[in-house]
Amino acid sequence: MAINILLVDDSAVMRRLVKKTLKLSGVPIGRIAEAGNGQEALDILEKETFDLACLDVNMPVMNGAELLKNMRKKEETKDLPVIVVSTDNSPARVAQMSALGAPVVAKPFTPETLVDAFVSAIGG
Amino acid sequence: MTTPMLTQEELMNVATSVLEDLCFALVDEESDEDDFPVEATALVRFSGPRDGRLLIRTRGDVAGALVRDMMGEDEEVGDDDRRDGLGEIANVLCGNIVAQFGPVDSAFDLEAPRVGIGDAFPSDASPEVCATVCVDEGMIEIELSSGGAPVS
Repeated sequence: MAINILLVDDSAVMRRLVKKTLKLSGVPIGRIAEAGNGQEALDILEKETFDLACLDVNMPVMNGAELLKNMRKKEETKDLPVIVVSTDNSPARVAQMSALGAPVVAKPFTPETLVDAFVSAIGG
Repeated sequence: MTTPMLTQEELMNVATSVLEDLCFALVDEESDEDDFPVEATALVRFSGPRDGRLLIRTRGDVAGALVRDMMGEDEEVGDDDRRDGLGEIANVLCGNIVAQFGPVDSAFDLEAPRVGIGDAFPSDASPEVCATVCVDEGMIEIELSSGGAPVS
């Protein structure tokens, strides 16, 4: 079954890099929607459903931590598997995200690290 | 007295690691040339347990080469990609730098990177630590400053 993904990062180049890494990995990827900040992501989540969300943390308008808190409050997204792909993998940030049920993949990432996190998040 | 954020050696090590892992760049401490013109600057402010800013200044034809290497040879890299990619490189570098500041009980917040062509953002008059790393296409000057120095 193909996995539908919401990809949230304010860098278009990083979104392309994550998409390319996933497509080359052999993981069955379906639809990929993209958002440049947390608010755009929430707007998309109002209309569409996904199997997994991949979030950056530091973004303008609404950061990834606020986005994730909002997602966990909503019935439709409270259980959505999420991985955080961020430059910030400090213990404090990892603990914050872990409390919200999201593992952190540090940038720069290797393809193996990213793909392993995706597979683990979707229960593969 | 405030503990220094990083030593120059630590800053060099973080920059080298990030550029090698993110852009597959071959990084050196010295270059055969030293008169590369300024290409672009990128600035990232951070706040949290420590406040400050990271400024990177590329000289030569670095931004396009790093972004091309990051994306892979089969990807087209336009002007917007160069700008966005350089900002992301600065962002990743800054995130990896603040992670070196030692045990802290709250996370750092990084502002969205600002990128300008040429010497768009001035150097801090007294940066806390500076480093220069060289790649095939030019060099990258890195300045790490504490506090909230104004940016024009």
